[in-house]
Amino acid sequence: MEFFSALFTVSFLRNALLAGLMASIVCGVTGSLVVVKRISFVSGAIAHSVLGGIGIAYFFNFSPTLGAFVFAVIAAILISIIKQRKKQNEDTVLSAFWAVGMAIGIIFMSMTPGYNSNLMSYLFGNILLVTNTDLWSLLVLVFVIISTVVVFYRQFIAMIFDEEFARLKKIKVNFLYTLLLILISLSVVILIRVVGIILVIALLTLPAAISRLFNRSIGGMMVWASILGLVFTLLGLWLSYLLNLPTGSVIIVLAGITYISLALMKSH
Amino acid sequence: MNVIDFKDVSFNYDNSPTLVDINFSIEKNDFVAIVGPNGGGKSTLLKLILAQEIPSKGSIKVFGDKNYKSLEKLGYVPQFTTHQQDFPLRLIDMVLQSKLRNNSFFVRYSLKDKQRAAEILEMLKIGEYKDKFLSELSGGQRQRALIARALIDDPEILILDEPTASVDISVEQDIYDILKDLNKNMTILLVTHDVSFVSKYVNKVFCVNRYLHAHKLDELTNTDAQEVYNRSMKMIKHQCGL
Repeated sequence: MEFFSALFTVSFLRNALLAGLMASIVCGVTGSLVVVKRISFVSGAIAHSVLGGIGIAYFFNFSPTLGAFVFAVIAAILISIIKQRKKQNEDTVLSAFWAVGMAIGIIFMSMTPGYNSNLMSYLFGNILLVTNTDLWSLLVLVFVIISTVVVFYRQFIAMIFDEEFARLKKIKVNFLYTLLLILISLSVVILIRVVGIILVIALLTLPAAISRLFNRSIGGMMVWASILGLVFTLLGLWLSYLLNLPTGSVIIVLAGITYISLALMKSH
Repeated sequence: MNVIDFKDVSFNYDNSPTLVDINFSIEKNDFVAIVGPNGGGKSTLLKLILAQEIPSKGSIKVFGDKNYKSLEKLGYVPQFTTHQQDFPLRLIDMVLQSKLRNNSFFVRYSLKDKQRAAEILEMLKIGEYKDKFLSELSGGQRQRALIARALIDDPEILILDEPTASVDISVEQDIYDILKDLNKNMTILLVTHDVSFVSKYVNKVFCVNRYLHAHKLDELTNTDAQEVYNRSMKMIKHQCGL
């Protein structure tokens, strides 16, 4: 009980709760699109490449969230362009983005003077360090993501279901794919605050994948994935508070165990 | 009137020639079967007509137009195997995707489009399933749904890629009867494996195996002599490499 009253009185816990709420909405909305389009690996590549932006931000001493944001969007656009050219093996290109982004990040962090404990907080997240300013920027990102999905909803679904057919109807498939990857990068920037770079794909895809097991419509998937995301985040916060464990990892373990057990039960 | 004209069209994937010197024309209300071995270039031919690939040589005119401004008048029915069978979408919403354009925003379709979709679904005898999800439909129902999707945008040419590949014989029969009926108002072009089966319905057969041989069947279907017919089918199959 002490935890629940603390949620509303202790400011870092309250901020953690609000950040978790926004992350859950993102899990639901973007995550569902990622799961039905089957591009978790693309999302992973975008997520990991943002460490490059964070490292550069540290070195030049500007906001790491801004660095992450810029890198994520650049990675999204480049990945989309390379996919459209079709000349390269997509798998290899994605692995390159994945690893090179991280390598750039680590190089810049190692050149930044002083001991860098923040590297861990970006790799594994620290929802307890979310500031009021962070919350406002997250709110703006959530608003952008939701309004984009609402405006382009039917076009997104058509592009995901059947690119070739959508193209015949003069729907701008390449533009929509790039837009989807940009939405993923915005989502990644939000989710990194909660679970960190390494665990971000899990939070983006697991709630949506669980909700796919029980929902036949994409709208239903989005709503239930958001609710599930919130449940995992709250439970994770509470358990990590009780047991003194890293919050991000507890959230992912909860989501992962739930998904794997439900998927196994469903396949029997 | 010719609705599709190919003149000396060639197409290469990388360096190997997929289609060489293709010449044909399709007239209004033709019913054409495209047959040929796998990898012979049938799908590429469709992609060229649909302007999804650009020929390396030659010229293609659709409705007498070289610039494909009329893509919306082409109804396309892809193979169902290219989709996720359990995609979380209702039948009616899948069919309505045909009404989308690049300026279709927000989440709802107009009442007019919905009514049109309901009419077409009734016509194809799948009206009662309109609120079902794709995962709940049988192979034949899904195939009709894909045909419905192509039809609600009132195409002048209907192009189908192996529409009966994943359905059983009785459904196959139904689908061809539907197409026969549609053929009164539109030109139909379909890729198939089974040349004997479609010969009752079509008036032209194109054999595609890097080169294209066109056969007219009109004369054949008018003859009562089974033997003449059988011999001609044999010849067509031989030429098509089937």
